[in-house]
Amino acid sequence: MTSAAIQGALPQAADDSDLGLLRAFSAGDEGALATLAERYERAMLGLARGLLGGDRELARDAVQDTWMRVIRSARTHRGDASVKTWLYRILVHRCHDLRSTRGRHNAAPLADAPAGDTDDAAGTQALLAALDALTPPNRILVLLCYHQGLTHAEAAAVMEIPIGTLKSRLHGLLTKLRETLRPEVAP
Amino acid sequence: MTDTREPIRPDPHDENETPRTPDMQNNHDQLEARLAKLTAPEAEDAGLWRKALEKSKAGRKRPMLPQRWRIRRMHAIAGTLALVVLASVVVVGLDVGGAREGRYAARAPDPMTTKESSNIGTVDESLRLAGIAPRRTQSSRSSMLELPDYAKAPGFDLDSVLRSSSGGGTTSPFQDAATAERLVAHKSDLQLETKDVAATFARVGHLLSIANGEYVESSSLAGEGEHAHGQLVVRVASARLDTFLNELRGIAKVTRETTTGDDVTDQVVDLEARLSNAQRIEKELLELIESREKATLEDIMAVRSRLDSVRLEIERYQARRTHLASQVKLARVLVVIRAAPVEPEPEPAATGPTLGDRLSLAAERGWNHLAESLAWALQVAISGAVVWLVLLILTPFVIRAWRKSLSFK
Repeated sequence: MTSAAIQGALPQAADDSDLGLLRAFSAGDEGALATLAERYERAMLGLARGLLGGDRELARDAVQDTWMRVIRSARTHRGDASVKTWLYRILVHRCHDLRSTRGRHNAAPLADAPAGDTDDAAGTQALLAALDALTPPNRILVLLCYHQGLTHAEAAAVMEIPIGTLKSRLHGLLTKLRETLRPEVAP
Repeated sequence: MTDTREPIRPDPHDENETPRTPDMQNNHDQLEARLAKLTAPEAEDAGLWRKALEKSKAGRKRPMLPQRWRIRRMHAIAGTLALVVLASVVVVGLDVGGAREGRYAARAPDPMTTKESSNIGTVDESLRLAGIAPRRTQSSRSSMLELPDYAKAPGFDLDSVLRSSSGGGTTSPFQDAATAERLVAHKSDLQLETKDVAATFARVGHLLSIANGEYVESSSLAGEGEHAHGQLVVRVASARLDTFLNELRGIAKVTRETTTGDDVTDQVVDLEARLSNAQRIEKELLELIESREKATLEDIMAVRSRLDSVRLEIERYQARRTHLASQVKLARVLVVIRAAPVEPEPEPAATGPTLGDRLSLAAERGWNHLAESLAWALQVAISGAVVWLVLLILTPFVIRAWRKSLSFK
């Protein structure tokens, strides 16, 4: 059953803002959660995949855990941060935990071999290796800033840092990545 | 979904920025494209929210508590840690206090100190030979003896006999249940050595508990400096004798100690029998005088004379009885206080200590301090084992929570 079908079967929330949907879900409206998932789940899966080095299964686990956390804590959300920022913050923390746990228990590289042409695959592998060399906060910052679902302001809110700080750090990190990848990305 | 990202461009004001070539610009585009591709949204809907919802419903066995009852995890951890630290402080504090008290209790006996309890041992042995097993209780350091058979005979009421002999209405010290089973008069002699005799002399007096009827029987203080000498005879409640002696050990160095316990049960029983007999004779003599109204003056004087002697005996027995009661109730402690000999100042050596001497002394002191430190650490480690174990278990959780709270800042 697709999300659209589920949404059709479930009662719809009157307020279709993120906060309204979350409150409707807290009141027992499961359709509101379906709407939220329709908006963010695929984007969250993409970000989780990037944060977890391309591991799709682990990314699914992270997103599912994020939804579970949302379901448990929906009532405690006070509205001082946007629902979207809150969702991404939970996801980022969960990915960080999973990556740390996996790093402790499994030394194997996280990246899957991406499909596509050989040069692109090699470039992606090199990029993943370069990202892996960054500290976790820096790696998260770069990926959040290039994630299509987030503006820089939202990324800064997820990271809980000022946007000016985010931009300056991003500038430095991009320079560092370019220097690291120069031999690989050169034509 | 609209991409509202703001492009990251090199800072135009940065003088160190290297001018870009077309190749470099191409590389930058590739990098940004690859970064965007790494986190590109998935094309397919995974429906993970539904699985999470089902899992959450299956796993939720208890209803959610109201928000005000929920305690945040960090608060719970902080509270637990505070409790653990408090408990460890209490445990270590008690342990240090216990160790401090234990130094006196567990101290090896001074070669100059003797402690004996000869009479108790003798009575204990004699009763064992007579087939009466001595009964021991945990509350006493010495043997707790049962009364001899003749004292336990039907109709023999030692307390009532003693009460009547000590003045009827007054309370007998032998009424105390703890002393009713054994009537032991304790005596202790202690010789203390201290730098300040006068101060120690005064402190001994302060250790007495007036509420328990304790008092200074006699005291003397003479001499000055290293020739100062003090002596006190104090009467201390028998039940508090051990405590009192421990307190004395705490205020000065004990150079000699003797404790004896004199079992006076036989004396008391014998005394009471004599007293009872004398009182019976006195009563019969009185009855005789009253019944013989026509007796001659000579006979009356003879009976009177006999009555006086009986009365004298009764009073002597009663005085002896009171004395024994006092001996049993209040232990007698003789405290002799002497000034500690002044150690002669070491004569300065002509050339002073050599480097070797100093190094040797430093090594010896260092070694002693190391040994003391290790002993202390071992004591704390063992006595607080439970606390350390709890801390060991909790620490990874606390560190993890702390790292998580800081990891993205």
